[in-house]
Amino acid sequence: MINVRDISFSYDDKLILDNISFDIEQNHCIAVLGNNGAGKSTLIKCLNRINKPQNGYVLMGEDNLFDLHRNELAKRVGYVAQKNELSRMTVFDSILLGRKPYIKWEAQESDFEIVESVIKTLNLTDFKMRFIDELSGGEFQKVMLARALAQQPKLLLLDEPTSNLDPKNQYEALKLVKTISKEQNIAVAIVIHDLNLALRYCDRFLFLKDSKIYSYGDIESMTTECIKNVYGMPSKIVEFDGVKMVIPFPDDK
Amino acid sequence: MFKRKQLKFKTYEGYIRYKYLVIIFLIALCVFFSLLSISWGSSNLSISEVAKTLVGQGDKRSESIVFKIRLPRVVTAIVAGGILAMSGCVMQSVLRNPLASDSTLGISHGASFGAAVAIIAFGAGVQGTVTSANAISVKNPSLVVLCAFMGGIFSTLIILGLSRFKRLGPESVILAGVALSSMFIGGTTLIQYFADDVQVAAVVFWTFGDLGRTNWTEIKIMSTVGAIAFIYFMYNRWNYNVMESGVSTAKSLGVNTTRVMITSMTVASLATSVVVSFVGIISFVGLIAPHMLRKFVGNDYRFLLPASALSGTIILLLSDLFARYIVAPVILPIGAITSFLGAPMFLYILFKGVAKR
Repeated sequence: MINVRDISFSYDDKLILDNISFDIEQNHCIAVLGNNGAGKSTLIKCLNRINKPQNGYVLMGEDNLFDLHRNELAKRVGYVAQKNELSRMTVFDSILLGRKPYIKWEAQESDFEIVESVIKTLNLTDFKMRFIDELSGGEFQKVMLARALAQQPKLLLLDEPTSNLDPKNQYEALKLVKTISKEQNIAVAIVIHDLNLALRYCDRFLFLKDSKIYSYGDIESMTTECIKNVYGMPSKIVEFDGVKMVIPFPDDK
Repeated sequence: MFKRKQLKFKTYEGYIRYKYLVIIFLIALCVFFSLLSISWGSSNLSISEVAKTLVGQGDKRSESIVFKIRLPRVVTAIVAGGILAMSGCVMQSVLRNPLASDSTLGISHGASFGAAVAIIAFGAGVQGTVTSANAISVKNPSLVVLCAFMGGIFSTLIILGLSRFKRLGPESVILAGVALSSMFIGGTTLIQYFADDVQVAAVVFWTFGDLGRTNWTEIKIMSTVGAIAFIYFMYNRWNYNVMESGVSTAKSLGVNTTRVMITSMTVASLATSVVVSFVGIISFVGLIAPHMLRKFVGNDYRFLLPASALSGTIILLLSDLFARYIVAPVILPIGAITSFLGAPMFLYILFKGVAKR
């Protein structure tokens, strides 16, 4: 269980997050939702101290993550950024960087074995020797996920992992994340805009509005009223083939 | 240019072996050009004579030529080229700027100004005859290095502030480097304005960039600083690798990006300042050497750092051979030669687009 408590973050005197508290179960995926500028990315960056919150703490078991050395923190929390810079590096080298928190002077055999195992899990074997600046969007996103998994984290933070992917790859990427979360007992927080993807692959839904949590709960918490209040947009929720779906219904017709 | 598709490897071990081979090849080239540089000159020595002399079996004449004239020049080229290239490589990494180097960020000119102040204003240098190869020699190297470092670090701090806190793009940071260089050139000109004729001639000659003016004490200082910088940079090689993915990802992988950036820039700035204070300004080596090697070993700093250092030494050795033979017996200033090589490379990088690496 991961307990996020009283996280507050301001940037240039502008309050972005105001006393945010919530819990994440191990092997649960939570969707972090809200308008553009609601502070979703800022929140997950606060959880692993990429942004330093002015207040609050995060407990993983009995450890306060904010008391840990940055390197120790990196062994427990993996992060995939919204925008990743391309570099002239092979897929294997790129995933090996996920072992950075464990490497003292040089990568050991155990590091290579873990990288190989992640490559196998994510079906990347065929292009592990390709350069990452030659990959398609979907392949690249998988490599970034693989790098984070090579950290062997207990908490995985994904910042809009599907934003540059086509619909098929969006579903495949999130399906993969959910499978890995369950199999490897990893808690996952995903910043996402697509409510239907969130509904299908996430266990809980955290809506941010006006720097605070508007609602946090399971699938029942996603209501048309909640969507209207958070996004300012009318919608309808239907069930099709046993799957709950959100249909945006702007009142322009 | 080399097509990216050419580099295809089936296994990771094969790829690593290839990178080691590149480094071994560069070492071989470095040794070859060093021997060539020692053997060529107004009194020619054969490569076997040079080798014999180096292992202590040469005659007195060849010993005198090798150890007093040729070897200091070659060792200076090796050390200075290595330092400038690896410092450029690190600057490009931590500033996330493919155009970064000591010469494009105003660090060399800052260091040059500092050294000029030390030599003229604080009397740390002694002037010889202007026409001789040793128009000016440093009698107080620590003061010259300190002042050069102050000048270099001043530029570094401005650049760090602009790129970190103002978040200027790569091109704007280089423009800031141009402004700083102009300011320091102006400062050096002012110092010359108030100096006497001999001092002016000496400083002009001194700023050309020359490998032939260093003595063994200065070479020892440069080598020590270079070795410490190399160890520090290699210690951080995984940090530089991770920083290739962007600041947020690097932080998430346990790297204190601010500390790595500031300490690396300070070490790079100190190392280049030491080189500038002993051999003058040698432009563009720090820019072109890492870029040439990125084509072969990628952005993996475990290999890119030593490979860049080696290619920097090769560029300086070749430039020096060129400078010595194009209008022999006159020796052209090496700074001018490297500028002729570097400027087209700079334009090529701009043409290719600075955002794409």
